[in-house]
Amino acid sequence: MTAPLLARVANLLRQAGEVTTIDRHRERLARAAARLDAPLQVAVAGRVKAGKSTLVNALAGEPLAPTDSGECTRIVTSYADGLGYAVTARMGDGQRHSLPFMRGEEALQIEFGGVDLDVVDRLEVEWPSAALRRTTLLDTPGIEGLSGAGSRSEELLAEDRGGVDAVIYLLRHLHGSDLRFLEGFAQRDRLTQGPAAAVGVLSRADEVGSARLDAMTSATRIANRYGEDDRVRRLCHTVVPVAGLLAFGASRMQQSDFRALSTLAQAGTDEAGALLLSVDRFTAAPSEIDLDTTTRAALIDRFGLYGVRLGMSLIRHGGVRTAPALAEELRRRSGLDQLRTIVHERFAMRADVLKARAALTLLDEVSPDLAGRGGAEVRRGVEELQSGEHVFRELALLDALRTGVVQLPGGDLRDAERLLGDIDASPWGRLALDPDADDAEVRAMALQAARRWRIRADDPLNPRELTRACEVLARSAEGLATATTSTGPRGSAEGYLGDTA
Amino acid sequence: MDNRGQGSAAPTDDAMALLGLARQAAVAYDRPEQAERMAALRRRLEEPAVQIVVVGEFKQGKSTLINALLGAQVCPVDDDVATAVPTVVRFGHRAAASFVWPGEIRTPDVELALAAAAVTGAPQLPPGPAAEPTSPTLVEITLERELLAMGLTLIDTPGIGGLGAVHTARAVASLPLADGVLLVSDSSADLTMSEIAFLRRVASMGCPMALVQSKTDLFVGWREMAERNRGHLLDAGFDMTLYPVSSALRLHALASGDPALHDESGFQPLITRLTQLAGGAKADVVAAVAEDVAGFVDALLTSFLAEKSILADPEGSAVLIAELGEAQQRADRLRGAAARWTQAMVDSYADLASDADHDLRLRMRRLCAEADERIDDLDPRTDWDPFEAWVHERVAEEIFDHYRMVHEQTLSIAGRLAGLFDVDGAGALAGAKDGDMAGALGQVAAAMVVDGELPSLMGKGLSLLRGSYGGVLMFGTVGGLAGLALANPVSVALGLLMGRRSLKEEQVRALVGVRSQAKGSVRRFVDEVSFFVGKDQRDTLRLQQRHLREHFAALAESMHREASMGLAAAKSAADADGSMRARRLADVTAEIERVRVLRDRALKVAAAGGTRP
Repeated sequence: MTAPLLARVANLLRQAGEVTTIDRHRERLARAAARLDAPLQVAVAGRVKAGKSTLVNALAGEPLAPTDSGECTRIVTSYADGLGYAVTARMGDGQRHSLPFMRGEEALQIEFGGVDLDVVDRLEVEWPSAALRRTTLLDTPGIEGLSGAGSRSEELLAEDRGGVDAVIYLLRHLHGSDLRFLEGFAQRDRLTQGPAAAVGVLSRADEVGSARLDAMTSATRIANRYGEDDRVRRLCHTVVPVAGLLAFGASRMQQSDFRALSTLAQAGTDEAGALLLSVDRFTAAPSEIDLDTTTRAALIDRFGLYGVRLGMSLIRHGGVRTAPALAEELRRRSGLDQLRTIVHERFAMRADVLKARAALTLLDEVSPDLAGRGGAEVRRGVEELQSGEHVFRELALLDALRTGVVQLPGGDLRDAERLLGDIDASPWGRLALDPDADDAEVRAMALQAARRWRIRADDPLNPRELTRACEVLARSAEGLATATTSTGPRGSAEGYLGDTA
Repeated sequence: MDNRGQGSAAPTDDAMALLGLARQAAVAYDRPEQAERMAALRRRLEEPAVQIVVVGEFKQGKSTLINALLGAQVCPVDDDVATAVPTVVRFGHRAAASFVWPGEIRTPDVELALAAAAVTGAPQLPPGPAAEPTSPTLVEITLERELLAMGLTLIDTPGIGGLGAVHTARAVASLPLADGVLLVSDSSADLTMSEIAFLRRVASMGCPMALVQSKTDLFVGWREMAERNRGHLLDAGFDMTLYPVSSALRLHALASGDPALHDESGFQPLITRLTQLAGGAKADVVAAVAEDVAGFVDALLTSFLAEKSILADPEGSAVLIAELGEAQQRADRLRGAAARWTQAMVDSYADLASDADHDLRLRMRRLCAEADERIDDLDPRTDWDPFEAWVHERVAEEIFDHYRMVHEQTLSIAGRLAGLFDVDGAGALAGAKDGDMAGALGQVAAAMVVDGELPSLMGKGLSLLRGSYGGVLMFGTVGGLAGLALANPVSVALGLLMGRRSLKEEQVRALVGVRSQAKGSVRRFVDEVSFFVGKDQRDTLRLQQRHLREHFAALAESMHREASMGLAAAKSAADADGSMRARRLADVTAEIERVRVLRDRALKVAAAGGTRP
């Protein structure tokens, strides 16, 4: 199913590009066509100091984005996999300048020379990296910052200009401006006004509750509450807690860090406790513990107060004996894995659908201006795709369920969302089965689900949109059932696109 | 509890002692109404004088700041749940909590745990006295703490900028109470646009404010952050102090008694500043009270001096008695419905009432038009929540401005009345011919109103809602000031429902229909708000007028009484025979001595109170 869909969309884009008489549109269509083959563009957005750059670094696994104190990201910067290392400034007038740069300890150091930052539209960083192969990350200026640079992010996401496929939205505590921003992004998506392409991250989760050891537990609770809020549900897929600094620190942990943490862990509880009262004490106060202040300052920089406390406690009580084991444990607790899974499974696996959808949105916007028979053909093609492809209907229904336009009772709602691939897009995931379930089981379960939703669809008392929703659900389940018979083990169902590797 | 930051309580003690003496004197010289007045002044001295409102975005550590200031877990702190109901913490000899519901209904002696639940908006509250609102508009907590004993009242507010429609509005509604505002913003991020916008709003009300940068214990770069925030403040044109603090360290320091830790917490400068504020306000009250006492003593002195001069020189008594008689008549003219100030008061208040009514209607009509415009641009089925928040905020702003307008008018009326009273009353008791005392009493009335109370009120910026609440600050001492004002019409209005449920259920109907329904519900909401506010305003004005009348009438009465007693004493002195006269002369001379001592003492306290730290 994958190829035909993307191919059809590519075809439409090409056709529209030929027909259009408006230069600006032609350029956008060409860009959209190029993007169909490109990695998924994921923007990392949020208020100032929400930890966007730290998270970008953690996801990329390299110290790329500068994370000084202060509002440091003022230009939209993309980080993409490439054959070589390069930094390019794309100017507002379309010109491109190659910029010299150095690989720094904390971040990439880019020399801007005579380039006027105010007219730089975007910085493009090319960096050979496995982590960036499937997704290109866009670091964005924080909204609500006093520099006003945040308006650039709003432009980027509210218009198609930036070509953003999905958003990781960072929030520390849910603020009114966060919702306004996400609404802007959701409204752009006119095809299915929906939350499908955004995930919320409760960022700097390690700082919740004064960086106590149970910070992540609290953060999880808060994230869950936000995730269940109706207003949030209709804007983003889910909310997960992530301690970006912890994750990034873990990815760069060195033997010396482990030694330093071990020294702390072996010291007396009172001695260590006195140091850990505040960052000032930790970085400067005299202590009998055999760690100089430079080492301590480096530890705090790298892991944050919570990371140091947690690392210490893991060594002291958790039986962690080696640096790799500690790094692994810290990363596991940072919540980054969960976010990665969502990005890779939900976004990347559905990348084609999302890309097709983004392209269709553009076509939808451009096609009314297309003249002649060619124009009519494009419009028909767009319409056909939008109404014919079951995946779009699945996404549309998912959004309708989330925004409350279609209402189902609690248990039914969860099953329906699951069946639509909201939690896990694999066939067994959709049917709430164990990953080891064999095809027969998947098939039996799928047929059962199909029957259940058919019966629901036939209820004469249903409002019209509920009947339609049940039909879509039944169709999804039938698709799962036929996919298992026709394509053999672990095949993909209709509407479920992308690899399962 | 530590003793740091304790200002001297001496001026207050002096004033208390002075009031005690003055009260004895009032009883001894048979001036019962003055004795009552001294008791009232005493209550005023005991009232908390300075209200510090703690505001900020949510989860910045506002509640923790208050806890750390007081060294007690007063305000509930949670990683997740935020403060939803304003909490007033003031002095009391025992730890206790009470709820204030809309309509100023109080539930005293609530369990502290229950109070905490109410503050965080927990649902398991027992139903309030009224059926409708499920949470109190205010939780009041009393606590025995030295910082509070100095007259500080700390008000914790719900965070601004959050999702709850009512929260921001509630925080804004509590601002008029403020003698000082502390904006709390933590060390993790620079000030944001919304914080700066909020500061602008506070600044427009003219009360002193400071920025508290919290959680310095958690962030390595807090010093740089403080520098940058100072820069942001300067850029925005605010001249205000920034206090970097760590509540966690302060709590540790209090628990462990480690002075170094306390220094690190950064609390000392903040506490010093708060102490100064409290001290300054207290000094104002002490000065006003002492001047009041001095006025009363002056009146006593005037009578005695008159009597003495007659006793000493019976031949000249006829002139003096004639003068005293005239003074008595003048005082008499100040009494009763025909007095000029009474007429002026009735007219001014009638005008004000119609002005206020018009102002309110105009504002609400404008607001409805604005709301209609907005509704035309949105889909009420999905955008209702932010829209509702906007309506609440705008309503709060308008009501607030409305009260400010009315309040400014009442201040000017009171000032004008005091002026009239002063002119007409001048010389009402200037019968005595003792050089330095001539005319002293004539000024007393004016002094009490003009010097003692009104300017300090104006100087405090806008204590709007307080002022409007029956002029509690202007003329009386009503307990639980903060409680009253926070249960103000704004809060009541904000508790009203806007019919969102019915809108949300309208999933199917055409947008046009839903929009007109939305407009209707905004209009109904605004109507109800207008009704509440209008009613409150009328009641308030009536109450104020009554207070003013009582105040000036009491003054006129006491002037008249003073004049009559002086006249009677002078007459009996003139009629007295030789031996009696000599005895009385000795008595009066001794009394004058005694009263002079009291007067000197009053002036000294007034002077000491007047020198602000």
